[in-house]
Amino acid sequence: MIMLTIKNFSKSYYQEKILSFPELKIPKGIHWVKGENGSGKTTFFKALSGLLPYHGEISFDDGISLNNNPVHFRKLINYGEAEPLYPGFLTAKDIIRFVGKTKGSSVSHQKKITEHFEIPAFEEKSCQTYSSGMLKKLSLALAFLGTPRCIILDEPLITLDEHARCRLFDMINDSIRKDGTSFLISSHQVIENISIGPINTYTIQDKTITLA
Amino acid sequence: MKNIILTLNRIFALEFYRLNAAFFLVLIGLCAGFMSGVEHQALAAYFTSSPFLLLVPVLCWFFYAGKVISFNQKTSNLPENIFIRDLFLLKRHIQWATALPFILSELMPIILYSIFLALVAIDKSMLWSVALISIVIIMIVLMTTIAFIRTLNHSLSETKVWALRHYLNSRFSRFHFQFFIEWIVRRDFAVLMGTKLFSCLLLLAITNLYQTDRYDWRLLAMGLTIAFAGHLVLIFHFQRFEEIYLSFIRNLPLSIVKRLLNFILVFTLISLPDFGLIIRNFPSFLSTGILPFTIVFGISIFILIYGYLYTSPVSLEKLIQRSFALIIIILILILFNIPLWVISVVLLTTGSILYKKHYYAFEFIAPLKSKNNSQDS
Repeated sequence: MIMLTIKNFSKSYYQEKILSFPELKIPKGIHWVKGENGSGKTTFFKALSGLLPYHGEISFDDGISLNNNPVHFRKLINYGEAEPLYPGFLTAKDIIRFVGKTKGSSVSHQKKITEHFEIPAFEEKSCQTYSSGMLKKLSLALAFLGTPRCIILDEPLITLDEHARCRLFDMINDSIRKDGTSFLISSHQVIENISIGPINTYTIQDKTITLA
Repeated sequence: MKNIILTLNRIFALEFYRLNAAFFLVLIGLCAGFMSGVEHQALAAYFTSSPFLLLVPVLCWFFYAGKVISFNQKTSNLPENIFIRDLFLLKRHIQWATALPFILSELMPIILYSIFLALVAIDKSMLWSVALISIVIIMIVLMTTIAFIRTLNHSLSETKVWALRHYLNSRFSRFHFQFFIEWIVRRDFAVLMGTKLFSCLLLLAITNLYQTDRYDWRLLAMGLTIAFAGHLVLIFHFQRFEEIYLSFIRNLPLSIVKRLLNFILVFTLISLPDFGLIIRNFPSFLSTGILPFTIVFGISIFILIYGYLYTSPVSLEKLIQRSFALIIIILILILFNIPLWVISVVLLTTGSILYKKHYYAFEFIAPLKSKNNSQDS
């Protein structure tokens, strides 16, 4: 069953084409997007989640499109950054409450997610005191807020310790099982411990994306 | 050693002037634009005439030194500047010799003004003033250098969090509109203060003119135009803050109206002193019907500048140039007696349309220097 349809996609920087393809239909489920450094994975993810402008059309199966329904579309797609950056004086709690409210996530749901990622231990401290792993946990927690149909995780495993990785895989498995959430994940490490498959693999190479 | 001095100069002094270019532009505009050479000399003579009056420039110098110290601390802690900490391996006198040149460069504006004050004091035979100025400047140079050397030698010490901050963080979470206000207070307090001082003093001067003569509403409107357009540096910083540090908000399901309302709320809060001043000093013989439009007019200028920022990536220098053209156009409209509400509606509509049309299509390419977290600590 098709979840996301992308048509006539192209993204350029300073007239240089970074990524372009005529059509891509992404079914429900979990998808692993692979590609070398600089191949355009993050650019593709950021365009999908509405962070970067692009040419083309991106829409969910029910017609909710990023171009025509920018607010509704953004409610259904969440993004966890590879290298998160937040204002140093803000606390994790400030950011979670703000993002949670806009994504329609109740405070109890926010607490459940932050507890899963063991964020309460540092959520009242300012971000400037966080390690890379703590920032990553915060960015992952934000990606699970609300009721998204699709969660995009860009390099979710980097800077996470073994325990935190297990927690992340539990969370992904839970979201697939309970909410039917789809995932698009980029990772240079092997994605393991995800019990609900199959995992489709896409490769971004030569400025285009193909199903491997 | 020459290479170390050059490197430190590039990292600290050049960057300090680059980041504070807007502040220095405003300062030069205020000093060179409004006062002649004779008036500067008269002011200097006034300052040096008594120890109490000398406190005015001395306090400004200490404020400036505080800004330099804070900048040097933040810059030393940037991830890309971590190698600077290796300087603490050098002998203490070499640390001083390498730090002093760039610190003197950073403090150059106040050193030059202190020399000017000292020369005026010598001319008026106020030798105690010369002594006092020299002592203060030496103290400031020593204080700034010691603070830098201390940063080098204590770079691995823990960051302390105030108990009150900890308490507030545990009890409350910040609202979206607070993010930028707190950021600008921490990151560029001088720009915020400079802008507010400029706009409030201008509005105060304009409204006071109405006490001596009966001008029509156009003089007030012209003052409002310059005072509110003077916020463009803050608006520029607001956009950069949202695009760099809050880039994730583009993924949030916030409508264009909500995003714009947040901007209006932030700049209404920042402009409260100006609005208060206008309401308090509003000329009694002008129609009170104009009063609400003076506030709407201010907000409409903010929205137009903000909307324009999303049309294409623009540097601060270009924004200043283009805003100057905008000010001229508005002033001409005012001179031609176009009602304030008409101008406000046009600016508000144009700004909102520009923002709506370009927000999602805009892409901010962040310069590498801005991509750090510790700068706004």
